Amino acid sequence: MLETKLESKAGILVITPIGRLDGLTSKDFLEATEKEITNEANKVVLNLENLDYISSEGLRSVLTTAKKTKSFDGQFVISGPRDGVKEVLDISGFGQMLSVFTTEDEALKSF
Amino acid sequence: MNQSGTNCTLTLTKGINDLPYIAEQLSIFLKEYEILINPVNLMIEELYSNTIYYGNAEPLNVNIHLKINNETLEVVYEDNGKPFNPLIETEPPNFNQSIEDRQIGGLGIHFIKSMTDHQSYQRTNSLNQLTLKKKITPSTHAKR
Repeated sequence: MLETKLESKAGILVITPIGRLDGLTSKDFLEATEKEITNEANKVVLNLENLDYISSEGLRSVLTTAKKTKSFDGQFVISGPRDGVKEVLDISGFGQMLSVFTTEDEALKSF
Repeated sequence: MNQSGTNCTLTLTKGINDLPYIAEQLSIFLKEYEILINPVNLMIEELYSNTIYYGNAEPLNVNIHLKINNETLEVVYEDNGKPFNPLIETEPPNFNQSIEDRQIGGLGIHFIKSMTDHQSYQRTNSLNQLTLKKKITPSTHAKR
């Protein structure tokens, strides 16, 4: 079960998945986000503070989104993962590969 | 599902649509060990996805036996897919790649090895059987 909230904050696209990002819902996440990242909208914060759970299929959809942002010469950062999600990011190496901020505000200020 | 005391068996036959059921059952079985819910869910999803997409099981039949006491959580994952030992037949992920080159393959078993203290595999009665054990520490109880 996943809902994806999209907001624009000072020209930065903030994507907030709410619920679970897994083998069942990662398609929904990709559908909700794929048209949002463009040449003009290439600064992205993925706010994970409302994400309860992520699996490798969920990570795959995050990676797809990050790659798309890079392909538009943009920047992609993560904010606010809770402990369980943060552990998965760390073990997978995503935490080291992508910039991870504690809060959305810090992430927004990093651009 | 058969859930009694500190044992529980999940039977899965429906493929990826079983994921909400897995999450629901684990939240019941592990309610006293809340910190374990996500890691166990993750391990089961990774194994089950492998069976669904690569196991060629016909018809799909997976049984997961969970057992917990004050010292250990044990997960026995049994599937009727083709013979496959994920502990030795999976390439480890490459952590030194850039975002552009990074792939997801191999992460599932890497999670399992990172999150458990013991893993063993055997093929019996035409089933793959993977046994995982995780030590329970006092903080597992405390950090509810």
